Amino acid sequence: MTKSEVLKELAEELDLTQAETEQLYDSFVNGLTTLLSKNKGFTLPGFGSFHAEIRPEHKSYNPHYEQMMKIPPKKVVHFNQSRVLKDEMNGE
Amino acid sequence: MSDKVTYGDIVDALSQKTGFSKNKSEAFTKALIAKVKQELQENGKASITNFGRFKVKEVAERQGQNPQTGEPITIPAHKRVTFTPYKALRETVNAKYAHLESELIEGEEEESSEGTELAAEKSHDSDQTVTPAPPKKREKANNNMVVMIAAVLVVAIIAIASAWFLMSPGEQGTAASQIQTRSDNVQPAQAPVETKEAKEVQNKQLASASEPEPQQSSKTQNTAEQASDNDNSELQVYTVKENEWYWVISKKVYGKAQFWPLIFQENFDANENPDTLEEYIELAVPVLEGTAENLTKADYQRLFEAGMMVSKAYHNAGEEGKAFEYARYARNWEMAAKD
Repeated sequence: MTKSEVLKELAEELDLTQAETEQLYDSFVNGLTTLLSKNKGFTLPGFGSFHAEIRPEHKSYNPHYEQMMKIPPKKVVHFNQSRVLKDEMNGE
Repeated sequence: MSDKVTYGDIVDALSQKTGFSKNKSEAFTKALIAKVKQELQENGKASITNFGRFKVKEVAERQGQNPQTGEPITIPAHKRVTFTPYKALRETVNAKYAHLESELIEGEEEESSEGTELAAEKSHDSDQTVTPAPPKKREKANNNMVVMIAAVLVVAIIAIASAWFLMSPGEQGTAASQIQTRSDNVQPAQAPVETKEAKEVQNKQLASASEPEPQQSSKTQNTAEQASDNDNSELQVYTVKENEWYWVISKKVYGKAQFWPLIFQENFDANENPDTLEEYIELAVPVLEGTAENLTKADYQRLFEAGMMVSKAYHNAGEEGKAFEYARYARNWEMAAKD
């Protein structure tokens, strides 16, 4: 399902125009991205929680150079499914 | 661990940003989540544009144990939802780390520098040649260069230190000027080498060419003077090391810890909490017009503005005590600017 299809269905459901729905959609995604880049986690009820963590600098083998390499620190986004979502997915 | 934001906060922010009512914003959020769930049920995968992709993964049955009693149990096969962030999200979240690159380590030897240029060069070379041999040679050559630079800098430190100790305390003024002329004499000799290795040296110490500075900062009072004299550009770049805070950096760069609001003002806005500083990011460091001991009015004006901003940032972060304290500092600086 593409973004435009989702927008169309949501617009019908919420009784909004597609442009308005898109504005909401983009602001929502932007907001979540900003939160994560500020190291703030959040929970979407009934769905799951997101948080960002720093993966520290470490050493790792690079098969291309056939050598150990120093990998710089990086931020990684994690998702944890909620119990509700888990139960729904498993048909309970 | 990172702090959490509640669902209510997200909905409030969304309604504020878009101008829709809170009810509408929440209805939208709920509808979107429901949509994603429905898709996961139907297709086993769903995506949110510019955010990430959700996928249902089958987890096989496995043996586990009860963490409380240690009793073995069988965990039945089940499904779980996994999340993969899209590039847009990955890049935004990692914006502060974009300048870092992985680099080769030779044997047990560990390179202390974060030479981004070096790493970039190496990967470029090996893209062309595929074999890892040429990069090694280049690295050795670079190591020699580093040793040479280190030698030159050590000589410079000795020269400056001896000059300093030979002078009697009464002649401090002339001593300072002589040290400067000396270090200026040393500078041109270093310059050609340093342009090549500039980035490496920058990352090791400071953007300025004054490597001896940090060692001397405790002894001499004119370090900041030297720093600003040796540096021609408006800004220096400083890479934050582990467990460093604004005042530690300020002490290193200016020789005085209380000037840290300048660094904060240059890099962040009032929405950032001044008590959080992430490691490994690069900070722009503004250069003082005068010296740490003898600030110009423009410097005081800048300090006043920076102090007010820090106060505002603390206010936004809910630290009223600190906000009040920095507002007071800022007013002192403002008085100094007017005198």
